[in-house]
Amino acid sequence: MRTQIEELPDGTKFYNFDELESFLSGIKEKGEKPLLTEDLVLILLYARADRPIYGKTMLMKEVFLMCEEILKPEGVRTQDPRFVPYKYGPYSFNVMQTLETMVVANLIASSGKRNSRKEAFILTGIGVKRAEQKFERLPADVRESLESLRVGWDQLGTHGILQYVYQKYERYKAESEIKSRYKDIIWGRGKA
Amino acid sequence: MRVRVLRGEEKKYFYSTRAVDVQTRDGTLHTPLRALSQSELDAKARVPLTVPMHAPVSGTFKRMSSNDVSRLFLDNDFVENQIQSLENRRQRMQHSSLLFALFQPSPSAIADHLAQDKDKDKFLRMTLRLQQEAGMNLITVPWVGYSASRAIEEFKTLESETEVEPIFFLDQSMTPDEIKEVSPYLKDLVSSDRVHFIGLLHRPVRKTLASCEALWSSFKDTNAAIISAGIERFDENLDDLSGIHLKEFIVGDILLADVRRIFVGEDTEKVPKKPPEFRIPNIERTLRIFDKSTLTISTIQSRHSDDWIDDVVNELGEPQLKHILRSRREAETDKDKYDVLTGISKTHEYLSSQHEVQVSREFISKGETEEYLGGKTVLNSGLQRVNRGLS
Repeated sequence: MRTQIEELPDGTKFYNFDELESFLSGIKEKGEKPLLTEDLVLILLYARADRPIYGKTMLMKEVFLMCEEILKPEGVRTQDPRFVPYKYGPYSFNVMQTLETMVVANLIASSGKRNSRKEAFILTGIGVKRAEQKFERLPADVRESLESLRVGWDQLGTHGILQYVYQKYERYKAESEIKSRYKDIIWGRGKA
Repeated sequence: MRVRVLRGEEKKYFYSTRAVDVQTRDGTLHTPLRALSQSELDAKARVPLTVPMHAPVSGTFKRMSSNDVSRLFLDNDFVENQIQSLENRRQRMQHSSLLFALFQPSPSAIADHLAQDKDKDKFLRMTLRLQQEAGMNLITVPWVGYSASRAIEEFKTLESETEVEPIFFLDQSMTPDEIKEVSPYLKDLVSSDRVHFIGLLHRPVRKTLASCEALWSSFKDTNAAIISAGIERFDENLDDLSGIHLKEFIVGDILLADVRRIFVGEDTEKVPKKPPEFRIPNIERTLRIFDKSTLTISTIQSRHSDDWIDDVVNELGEPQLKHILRSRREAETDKDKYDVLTGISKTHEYLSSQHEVQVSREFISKGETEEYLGGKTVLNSGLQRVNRGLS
């Protein structure tokens, strides 16, 4: 039996049985169930259910921004998607695996050329039903922010959203294969 | 889709405007409204900003130079790039209820490559294919300089052959006689519910007053929304009055700006795209910001205080912009920073001006246009000067 909690580079932790039990009872005491990774994808797509998200990169960055800029500041508890710096910035293996499972489970429909910016992800009828319950349980201001920022993020496109994420969350840029395309612009240093 | 004129308002030698409702599958759009342009959308991404630019209508206005038209005819890669670029914009503009893209040849491109009707036909065929390939659900038909009678002939053919709804564009500089010849055909299409929009390629109002008058008389009661595309950002001859806000009271229900000139100052007529050594003489004389109270887009040098910074920060909801705007002189020698300021200026203008158009619509739809104009001194005087040919 392990006596210390082990942690992987992406933040994944291994608990022994006692520690896990105490962790789970902590969650129970707090009442509200945290949103699971699947729920994160569901509510993001549901925020504008009639419009798809194009491309896995956009979807990944939008889940990231939703966690960082809406759910965390508003105190909405979620399963940690474990974002790590990766080839195109923040990336979660959990989110990617969950997305693929959700497509197979017919919660999400994927159309257009796979693994390209044209691949469109949209909720299916079953997905909408499942997402609706999760979405409606969110506080009203969170729902409003989600509906509004989904538009704001979609409008950036892949290039714009990467520019935004690299600029604001610099630590996730470290492993990026395309970071040289995105310049750091630092203001307040005087004229060059 | 259904379009209905709610109210038309006009005062001879002063203004003409109207309120129109456009019913779409996403709900009803109320005009006048400012459409979101690709240039404004790109500006937001360049800063970058996450603020949503809510836009019932979005449009891409691509000016085709002589070189572009030549490449359109001869270069497969160029055509493919145009399709990809349009697809990308269609995705980013997907939250709008109506989306269109206009590939408009410049006058020199028409003279160089589209002088003969067979070349005009070819250009139309190519740009229609391009829009279809990119998945557009409204197809625009640019003005390529046909005679009025030939234009009607081509419009008839296109209308019968395209599966999606066409938007036929007229040129605001067509003569009043040409407008009077073409308009009955378009009005017939509207009455028979085959088209719901009429396109209008914007030209400087003071140079086309007689044509504007003919367009207004022809279409003022027509149940189709007039899309005026390519409107200049501001008019130096009218105290930097915003072109969108002027055009709203001349002719046009859906207004699309041509926001190319961001930094055109008194001492820099045109900023080269990629100067070898980037240098702006004085950012205070080149950076322009929209002022919703006066409807002008004037240089910040002409502002009496730094209140405009708070206005921009509040509109865009990004407190850190204050630091950028206060450090703006750094952009005089840094192209990347200059581009960021460009982006902030355009994004702010769209959001603030779009809101102001909504305010004006309330007045127009209630028949209180004069009351609105009474509170907008620069616009009021601009309309009087334009209509008297004084600008």
